[in-house]
Amino acid sequence: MSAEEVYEKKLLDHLSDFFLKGIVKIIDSIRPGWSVRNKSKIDEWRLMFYALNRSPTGIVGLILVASFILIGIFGPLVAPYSYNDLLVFKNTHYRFIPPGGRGPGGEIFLLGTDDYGRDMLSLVLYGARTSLVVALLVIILGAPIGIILGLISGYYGGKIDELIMRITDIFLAFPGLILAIAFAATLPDRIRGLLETNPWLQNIMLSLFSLDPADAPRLANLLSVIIAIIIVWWPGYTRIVRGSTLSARENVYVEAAKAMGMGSWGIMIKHIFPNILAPILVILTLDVGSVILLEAGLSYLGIGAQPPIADWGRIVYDGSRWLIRGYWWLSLLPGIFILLTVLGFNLLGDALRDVLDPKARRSIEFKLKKKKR
Amino acid sequence: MAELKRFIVRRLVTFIPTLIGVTLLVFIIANLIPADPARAWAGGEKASPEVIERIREEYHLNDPWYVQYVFLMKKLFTNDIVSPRTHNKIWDDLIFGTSQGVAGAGTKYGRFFITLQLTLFAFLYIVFIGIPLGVLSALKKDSPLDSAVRSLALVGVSTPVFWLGYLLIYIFFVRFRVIELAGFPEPTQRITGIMVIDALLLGENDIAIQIINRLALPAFVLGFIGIGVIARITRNAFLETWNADYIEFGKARGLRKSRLMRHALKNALVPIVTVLGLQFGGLLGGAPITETVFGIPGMGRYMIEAIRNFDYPALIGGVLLFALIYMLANLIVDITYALIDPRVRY
Repeated sequence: MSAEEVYEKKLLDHLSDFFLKGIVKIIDSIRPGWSVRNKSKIDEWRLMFYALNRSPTGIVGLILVASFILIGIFGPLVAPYSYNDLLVFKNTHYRFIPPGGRGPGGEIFLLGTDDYGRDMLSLVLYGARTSLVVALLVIILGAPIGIILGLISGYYGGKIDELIMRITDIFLAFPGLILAIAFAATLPDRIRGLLETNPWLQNIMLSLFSLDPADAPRLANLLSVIIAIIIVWWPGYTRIVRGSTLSARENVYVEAAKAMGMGSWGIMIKHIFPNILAPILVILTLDVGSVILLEAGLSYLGIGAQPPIADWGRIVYDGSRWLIRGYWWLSLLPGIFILLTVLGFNLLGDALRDVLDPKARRSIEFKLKKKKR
Repeated sequence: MAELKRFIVRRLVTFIPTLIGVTLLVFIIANLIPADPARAWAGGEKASPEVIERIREEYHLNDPWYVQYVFLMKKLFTNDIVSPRTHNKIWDDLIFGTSQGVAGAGTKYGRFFITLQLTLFAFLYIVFIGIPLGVLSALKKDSPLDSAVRSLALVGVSTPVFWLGYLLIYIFFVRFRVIELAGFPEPTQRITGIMVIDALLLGENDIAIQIINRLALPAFVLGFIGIGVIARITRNAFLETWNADYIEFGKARGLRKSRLMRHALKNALVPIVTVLGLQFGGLLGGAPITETVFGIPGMGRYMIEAIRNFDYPALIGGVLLFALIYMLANLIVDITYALIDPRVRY
């Protein structure tokens, strides 16, 4: 079934076609003839995009996620001030300028300033970078651990499965936040040593987080939060991947691959993994949101990023002291950005769940096709 | 029932390795800190060597780690170990209550009971707002109310708890002073462990009202995620049973709608109870942040303070309790299945 048979094309569909064509071109340049051999796969992808384009929650989610990523990448570059520009030392009138208010020099502060005269807009922009990098690092470093252990556990079964599951039990037996606090509070000293002996790592991290070299000592706390989240995060993942692997393992194509003499790892990577990718993608999208939320919670508790590093959770904490005095924008404004970002990932994940489920999508597509005729 | 008993015993036995694993894990984390805990406990840089040495002796800090671990677990078992930070026995801090307390005020109530009370309040919100919302949303399927309830679940899990807390503090305390944020009145006598119930039992109604007034907002914040989640689960479960054959049959027999709804809801309870049980764990996990926002001296705050001050005995005691409650909550969920649904057998 091709996309034209099912849907009337809309503007968004042209956009996604354009995007998909670009990707196919890139793959073709690496592996000539790929698009011809995988035509049905590409048609399937187009249908998925078209379905996503027709899901209102998916579109809202996509817009929120895309703007978060764009702000995360370009925010620090376009921020009017640096996150450590304490304007209050220039002029005390830079303190507590309300959103949209003007500074002593006549400059407009769209989101106001805080107790140190820092521009809240710039803090939010830099904070997006922090959240984005934390979420990316947790996913890139953490997801493979969870996925590989889940594949092993589900595929081999028996004693190794029992062992891995008992370990996940331990991690899931009490609230992840508490465990993450414990790890994040104990790790910084070790990480500080690691960073001091590996300046290249420190430099990479400084540029990733877009930080001033003077804040290098504060990197350790930030990195320990990332490691702590990975440690509490993989077991849930392993559980889900194991469950999907257990059912995928019983398929005939796995049997066939075995009969053809394919090794266990080959089967896991070439046959099982691609078939459980859809639920993993959905959970990953939803989890980016919860990682951002957990990280904000940890830094709110004073365990993650240390000031002056801009971090959404920490900004809310620092600003909360002034809430009683009526300076609400210090804590309430940055929180809205956390809410919108996490909501975006949740909406997108929710929509992806429907789009990536071939059965649910197919039934809709058949109905639409009939109608179109 | 004999089967159920066997099932419970079997599950309780599996608790033991998990609890050992959990405490060992936290013990290892605690030992990752290169800092000298004895020095920190004795008061930092200025502490005299004799005091530090005495603390080392007392907590067996000079022994290998497994000796330390066994010592700690044994002492926790007999409630014979004193937190180097609060100078109270750990289970007194957490459960039994102390005579002369931490943070200014003594309390007859352990930190755990303060958190438990908060959690129960939050649970009330979840049950009495979440379930009716879910049923309403199912009855008015595809109406604006329905989509509002469904998006409430997504908004709930996306909201940073601390931000919601400050938002409500700003509205209800800074703008319109209708709530209280300071102090924590206690009834004169501890009976059940839950302050409000004790106050009501003792006839100290004004204290009960003060406690409710103090906890209404934090409990709502803590339960906010759960309300949406339960509404969504209730909606889906209720829709499924609402279309079942026995409801059709009931309609054909001309039963009243309220009667039909009772049947449908009862059959929808299994998934609802599962998620409620999971929510209980989630509520405990969310307690540290909510307690920090509203300044409630509960167990979550206790654990955070313990971690910040390298107070491992208290940390491990708290983790042990957390894990135990978590697992017990799951067990209770499984048992309630059998009580709600006679088709479930163990």
